[in-house]
Amino acid sequence: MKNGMTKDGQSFVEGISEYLRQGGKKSSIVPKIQTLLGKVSSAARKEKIAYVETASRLSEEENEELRKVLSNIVGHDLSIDSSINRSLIAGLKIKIADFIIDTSYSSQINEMGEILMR
Amino acid sequence: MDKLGIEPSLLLAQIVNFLIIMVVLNKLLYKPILTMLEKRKKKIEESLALTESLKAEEEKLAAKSEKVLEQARKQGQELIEEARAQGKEEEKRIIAEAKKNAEEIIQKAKNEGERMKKDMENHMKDEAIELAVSMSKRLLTGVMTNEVQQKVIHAHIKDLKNLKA
Repeated sequence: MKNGMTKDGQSFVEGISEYLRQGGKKSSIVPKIQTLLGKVSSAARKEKIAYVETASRLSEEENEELRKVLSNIVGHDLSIDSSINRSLIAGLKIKIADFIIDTSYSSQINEMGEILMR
Repeated sequence: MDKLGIEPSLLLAQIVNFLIIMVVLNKLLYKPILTMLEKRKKKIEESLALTESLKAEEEKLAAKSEKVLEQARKQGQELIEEARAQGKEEEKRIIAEAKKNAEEIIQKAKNEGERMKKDMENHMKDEAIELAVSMSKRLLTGVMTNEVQQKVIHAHIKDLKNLKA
């Protein structure tokens, strides 16, 4: 037992965790975001602030790196307003005006559930 | 004649009287009686003929009546047979309809059962998935370390970096 879980429970968690991690490595999120980028509205392109939610605090470096990446996407300089949301589990949730990128584990698990329910 | 005590003149008178009486009686009594008897005979004969005729007519009517009765019996029998046949047909139709209705009810019940089973399966599947999602979130939250979170964030920032708007 690890972290108060049975062996099966631990295997389950590790499996899910691995799947989600591999999704990131294999850039399974990339096509989804690429599609979303086509939908970046003019309002998002004019927005000055990117609201970023993470499950753990972003470091200064991460914050800066993310600011640069997002500025590049919308085509002008942005500032980051970051906050912590533990329910995301891991990953990022970014909101620029009406443009939202959600790469959190929470949303990915929800999507998995929706796919299974179909 | 005298020896016999018969008076010729008296005999003659009596013969004349007898003849007169005969003529008178023939004229006044015998002929009307004969006529009357003749008429009566004729009337009786007519009555007898009429009786015969009526008897014949009665027989004819009786035969006709019998024929009508026979025809009525026959028609009645035919109607009964027809009604029986119709009754059997109706019985068959009702049985067939009842069978069809029963089959439809059974089919409906089966379909409903299948639908309920499918609904239940879907519901159970949804419940299981919801439970799995909820469990996954809870368990992952419980075991997620800062190190893993940083790795995920870096990976996702890297993904975003590789994108072109």
